[in-house]
Amino acid sequence: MSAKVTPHEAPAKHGAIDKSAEVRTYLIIFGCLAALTLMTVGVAYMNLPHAAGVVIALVIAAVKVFLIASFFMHLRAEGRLINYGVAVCVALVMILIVFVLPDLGVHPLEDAARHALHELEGQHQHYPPTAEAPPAAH
Amino acid sequence: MSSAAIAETNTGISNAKLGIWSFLASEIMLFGGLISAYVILRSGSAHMVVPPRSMMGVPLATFNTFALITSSVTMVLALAAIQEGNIERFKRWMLCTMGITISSNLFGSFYYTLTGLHVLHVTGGLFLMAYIFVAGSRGDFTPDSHDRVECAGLYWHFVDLVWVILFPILYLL
Repeated sequence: MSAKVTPHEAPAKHGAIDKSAEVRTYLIIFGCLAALTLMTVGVAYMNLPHAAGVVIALVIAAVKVFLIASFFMHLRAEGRLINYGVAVCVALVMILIVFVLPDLGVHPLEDAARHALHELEGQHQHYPPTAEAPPAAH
Repeated sequence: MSSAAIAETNTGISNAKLGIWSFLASEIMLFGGLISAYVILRSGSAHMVVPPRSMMGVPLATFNTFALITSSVTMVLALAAIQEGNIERFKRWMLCTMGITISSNLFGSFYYTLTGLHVLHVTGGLFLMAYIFVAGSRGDFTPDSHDRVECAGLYWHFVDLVWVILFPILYLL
């Protein structure tokens, strides 16, 4: 891309510009990505509860995606048109993934809300609540 | 692309950049749809057999992840080099990017539709980078005109980004 359209390259009106500061940033980001990759693998072998393992792995993946998109793909320096476009795509993908989970019997938000309610009411011993009807009188 | 040509667009963004981002938007939806299908099958299908982690080749996949991240940083360093007008350094980083990609096993791992589709993208990226390397060696790019290098870089970082998501989903969870 020519220097004019990318804000962080603004000084370059013609010819070469000094990119040493950016190169240093790229190398720092590379170090962060490598460390996060090691962290992902390490967490996977820590025998955490499955739900916790999934959440941690996805959070780390999200941080890595953010770093790549922001710094390597220069989304930080782009205007609203491209950033909003990407945001819409990400929102649509979230709909594709999250909105089908209840149909599969996975209700993370509902379960969390129900759990919180029961904690508030102090009803710990019978969680989750059973749907069994009381025995009928003869 | 010249500054005058960019100024003529309604958006203030060059056509090349708008085009590559539109393409990447469609790619987000393509991979998003497949990942969604995988999540549904993994969570809801009684017929989905998940092999134990010991059979998944996690060390190799971890190495591949490092390879893709490294090739991503060498690609962005190639872009920085051409922005500085340093053709020799540009060529060196482009060769590193292609070499790292070919040496990683991503080139041959064809296990699932998701990784298969990803392999197609990696292969396409290799051809694209070979073209960029040749064009750059011919002197087609200058600090003021290197749209194609940036677009190729955006594509390659996206390929890296997709793998960052696929790696934990397929190999670790």
